[in-house]
Amino acid sequence: MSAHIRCESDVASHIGRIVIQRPEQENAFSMAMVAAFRAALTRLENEDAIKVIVISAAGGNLTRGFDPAEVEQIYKAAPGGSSRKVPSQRARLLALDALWWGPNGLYGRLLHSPKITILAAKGLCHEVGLYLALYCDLVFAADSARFANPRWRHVGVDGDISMLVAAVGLKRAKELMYCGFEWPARDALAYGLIDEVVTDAALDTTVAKVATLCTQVMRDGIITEKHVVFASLAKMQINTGLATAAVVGGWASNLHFREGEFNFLREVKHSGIDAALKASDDYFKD
Amino acid sequence: MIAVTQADAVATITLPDCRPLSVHDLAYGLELRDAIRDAADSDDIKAIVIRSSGGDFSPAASLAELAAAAQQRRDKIWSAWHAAYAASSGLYQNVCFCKKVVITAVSGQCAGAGSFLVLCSDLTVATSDATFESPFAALPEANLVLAALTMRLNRAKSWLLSGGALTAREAFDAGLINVIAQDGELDARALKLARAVTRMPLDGVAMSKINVETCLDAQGVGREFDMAGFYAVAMQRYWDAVPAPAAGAAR
Repeated sequence: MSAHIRCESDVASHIGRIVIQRPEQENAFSMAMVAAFRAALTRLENEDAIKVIVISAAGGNLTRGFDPAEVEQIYKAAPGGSSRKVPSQRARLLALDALWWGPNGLYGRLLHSPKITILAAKGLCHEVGLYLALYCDLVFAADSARFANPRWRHVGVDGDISMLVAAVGLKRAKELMYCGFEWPARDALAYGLIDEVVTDAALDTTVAKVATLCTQVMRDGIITEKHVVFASLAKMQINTGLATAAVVGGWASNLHFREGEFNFLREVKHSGIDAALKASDDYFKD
Repeated sequence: MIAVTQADAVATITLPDCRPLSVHDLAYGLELRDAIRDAADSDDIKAIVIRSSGGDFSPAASLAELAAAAQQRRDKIWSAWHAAYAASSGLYQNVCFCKKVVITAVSGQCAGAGSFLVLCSDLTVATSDATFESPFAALPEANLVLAALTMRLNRAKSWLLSGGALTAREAFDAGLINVIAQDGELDARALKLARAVTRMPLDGVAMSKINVETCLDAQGVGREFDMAGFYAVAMQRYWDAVPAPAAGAAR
């Protein structure tokens, strides 16, 4: 269990909590944190008394996304992933499936959680943060929340997009995908990505109030409603989107960069992460 | 009639307007299709901007023009018309499933084919005075699944059934367009979006478009395109049943 993910279970209130707590790194997700998040989901989902899982973060940001320091480590443990040249294709697919998109991946698990999941979003809600917003049942955001996936500008749109399109519509999704738009909380609300915007000061109390309200639904009612949602997601081909995501993610890890195109991983290798992030900001700024 | 320029990985396709597409001018449709396909096939291009040279992006065709168009396509529905407008070889599927990001820049009236081009394109910038009429009454190839994915089903149905025109603000709120440009800034705003796209690696652009295509396929957009010929036959029965409208009659 990573120290950067805290899991709390309050049987009396029927509320479980998963707290992302790596504020000094803007809550960037490491592989250990992904594993710990999934373990926390397992623990809370196995407790019959828990009806609602609240996901929140320490500090001013939900998360800036996956930790760039670990991008090259993703494939190492998978078969053929520790090759001295490039990771095998099977390593790419298996690792992405296990980490994010498969039935036991973080996103697959969250989307199909049998409990009611509520996200408290604030500050940077980038990449992993955007997907947390898409796959939780309810999303409350502070005024400070900003939703985007900067990774897509580096490598193209490599994750599931079916949920994004279903949530905000095709053209809105595309401005986020192709142009690197970052949506402030009010825009995200107008487009249908989130459910409510409150002040930063009111975020925790608002989420607590809604979570308590949700606990008034009986357990059999919650599980029934969630399974109705799962059936609808299947009919809406959202499951296809997640299956496609691992395949497309495998392609994205194998891109050819042409002269003049920004290659983040090459910058990391040559100049280090901080310099690469700055170079990225310079390259993509308007 | 259609001019293509190219700079900094952006192809700009300038056409007089989209009205000939609304009355299914075969040569015009194929010329635009070829311009889009050529740009899509070029490794030097990442984004394509479609704009009109005149005031209105897509002036409405009159009832008489639509009736005449129906007569002209009556024996070509499953051949020339289908190939030019509805099939995978046709104009709209070449926009909708283009390997590059397609941006429409719309000013003034946008009816019929113009509205459907907007639906098929990835991103749309419009002037504040732009209006968007539903393409469904005039075009059998118009794709309701695509409209529902873009605007949501209730809004798409309302647009289809009411026949009213959306203002630029309404179109923005419905998710049909991405940006409302100030007076005189239409081309600059479209180019700004295109430039943002060009920062992505070429492989990333192509991969992203395939990712979107799988989503569209899963949602039934391709199957709806497959139905276009049948919708054209049904629409033909309507035109055969009504008296010929007088020239210039309002729609």
